[in-house]
Amino acid sequence: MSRRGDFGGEYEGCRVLVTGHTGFKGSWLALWLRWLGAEVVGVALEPPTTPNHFEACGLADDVVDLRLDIRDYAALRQVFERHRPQVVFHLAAQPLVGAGYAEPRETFEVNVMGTVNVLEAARLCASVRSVVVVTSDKVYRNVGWEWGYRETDALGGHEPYGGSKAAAELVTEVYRQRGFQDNAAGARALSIASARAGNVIGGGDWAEGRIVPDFVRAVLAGRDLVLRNPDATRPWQHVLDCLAGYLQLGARMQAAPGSCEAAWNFGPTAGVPMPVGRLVGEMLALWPAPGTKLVVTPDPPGKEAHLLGVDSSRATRHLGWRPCWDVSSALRATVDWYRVAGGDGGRGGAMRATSLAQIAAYRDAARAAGIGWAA
Amino acid sequence: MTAGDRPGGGWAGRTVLITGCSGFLGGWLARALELRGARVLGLVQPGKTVVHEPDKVAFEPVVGDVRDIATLAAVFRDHAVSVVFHLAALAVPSLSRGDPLRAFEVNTRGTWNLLEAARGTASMPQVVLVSTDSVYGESKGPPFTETMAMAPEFPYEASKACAEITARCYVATYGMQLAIARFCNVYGPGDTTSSRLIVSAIDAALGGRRMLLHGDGSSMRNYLYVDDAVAALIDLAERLSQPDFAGTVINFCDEMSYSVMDVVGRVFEQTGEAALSPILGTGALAEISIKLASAAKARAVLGWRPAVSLDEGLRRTIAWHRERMGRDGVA
Repeated sequence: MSRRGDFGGEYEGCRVLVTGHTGFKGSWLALWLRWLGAEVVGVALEPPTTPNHFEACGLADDVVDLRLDIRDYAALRQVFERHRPQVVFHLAAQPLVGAGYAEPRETFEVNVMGTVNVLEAARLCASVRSVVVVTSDKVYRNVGWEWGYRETDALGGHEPYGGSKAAAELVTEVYRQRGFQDNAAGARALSIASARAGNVIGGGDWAEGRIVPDFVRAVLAGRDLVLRNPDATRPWQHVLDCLAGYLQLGARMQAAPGSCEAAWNFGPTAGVPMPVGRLVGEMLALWPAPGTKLVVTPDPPGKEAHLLGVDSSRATRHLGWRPCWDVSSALRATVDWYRVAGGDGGRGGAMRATSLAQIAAYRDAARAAGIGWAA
Repeated sequence: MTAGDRPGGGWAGRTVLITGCSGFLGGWLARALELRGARVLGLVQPGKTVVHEPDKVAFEPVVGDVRDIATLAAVFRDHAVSVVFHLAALAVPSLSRGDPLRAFEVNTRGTWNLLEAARGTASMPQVVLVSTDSVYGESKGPPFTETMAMAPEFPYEASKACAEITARCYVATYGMQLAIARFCNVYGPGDTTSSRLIVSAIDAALGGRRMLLHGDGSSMRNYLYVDDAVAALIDLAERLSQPDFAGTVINFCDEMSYSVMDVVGRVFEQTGEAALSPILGTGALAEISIKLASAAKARAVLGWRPAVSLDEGLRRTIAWHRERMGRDGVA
């Protein structure tokens, strides 16, 4: 079957509003939605970095590309009324933990009030049937467990970014309650779910302080890569893995309202987590770079918080989703992308074909693995 | 002497900011702190009249809105505030259901505005954040204790829960000395918010009218007399300098659960209108049906106990409303 049958065929001809479509995850999502045959309306600030995946794929010519701050409720409301989307993916956020420490108020404004604004505008716009709110694996109250956190575990970030996302979860929970929907002014039912995933890797991420972009910048500049914490592990996951989860969640709510309005974890494949140092070693094996070596300058012990992982059993069992690419596949696709992009990051739409080819490859792998959403 | 009038506590000469000072709890808190020698600044909303209450000592009004961080920053710049009692809120749940955006703007955004303005000062003031036992959501059985997860189901409740999460981030990240008071329904003289049960029951009873209930009167609530709430806030503030106290969350309630019907019955009984039975509403209510919190932590940590029973509190509150009607010619 053609790709347009993926996700139950829900996105072909569907009007989808994506907030944060100029960001790393958002631009991959917008591209995938276009590939599935959706009409995409994007609401976001300017791309957060130069270069960036949004421009590398030439998405400005391919979606209704709107510059808007989600803190501006009135403007957001107008966009909803003018474009009347059926499905909404809310990704716009202040996404960086470090920036949260420096700018807590702005982080709360964007991540909490922004979510209120998006949900209120969606609720009052009669065309909207489903909303997927993307939060974070940092919404959980970190109690130091070695095993994965479940959707039913207590929320509560300790720092502004995690706290803002935990608060966004509480907002989302209220908006999805029928008790609220049925009693609020302009009452009507709509499907709302939240998706919790962590940092993901993939081509086109240029954020500061993330290991993959830091590696790419070092290799391209022919300088050494300094690691502070080579033994730290992260739940490495390819961006397409979690986006498949978001897309499947939205499609399920469209096809069967009432079946999955809840919070869902979309984590990577289980297994032994890979330390940062080894991840860099694998990337160097994939992208030999004589000018770059790994330099370790360790932080004093205890600086980095114990990182938590999420348990995705619920999505695996109930949504027809599971992670598809293991860390090696994810790294290969990621390094391939940056090698093609080269020094200028693939501006002017030069990377569109590469990104689409990776989406197609990911989809073929999912289909071969018999994952439910791949037709 | 009520609990809120106890002297001492080192308040003399300290500058205190109360947000939401035009509300009745803020008014009584201002009075209690002034009696202890504090200088009280009260943030009042533009155009909002301060509740008419001749017993209250005047605080120094600062006109402003918590949605505007510039006003808050100016207060901290112009005055050496040592403690903030953050009471300003859109505190009527039914209004929040109709206008969720405003509830989050005032209750959640207002809180991070306040905390951020406070953080920006040279000597970060201490903060007591007033919250609600509604953050727990619907009771699943045992009384709410502070370790239970917050599970709000409506905008007002969620806006307060989000404010609490914000506050705890400021404690953990910036070392702010802040504690959170979760109150049940606070009532008493000075409250004229007619959407609140006790106020509307007294209005109806003193007007010789039958009370119109929204539901069937079976919702269970606990109540706290305003003096006991004031004492709780002052007790909390006096602990804020203790090591490891920052971030403490404490419920304050009388641990008694009364049905709406019971409370209305007591009001009409005390006003001599027991013959006027309430008219029941129909249909489901978009609100929590049972709320009951435990005050065990307040007893254990602060030695706090409510001093005023519901019947005594109602007697004082009804007396205040009677006097007000005579005074203002309100019928």
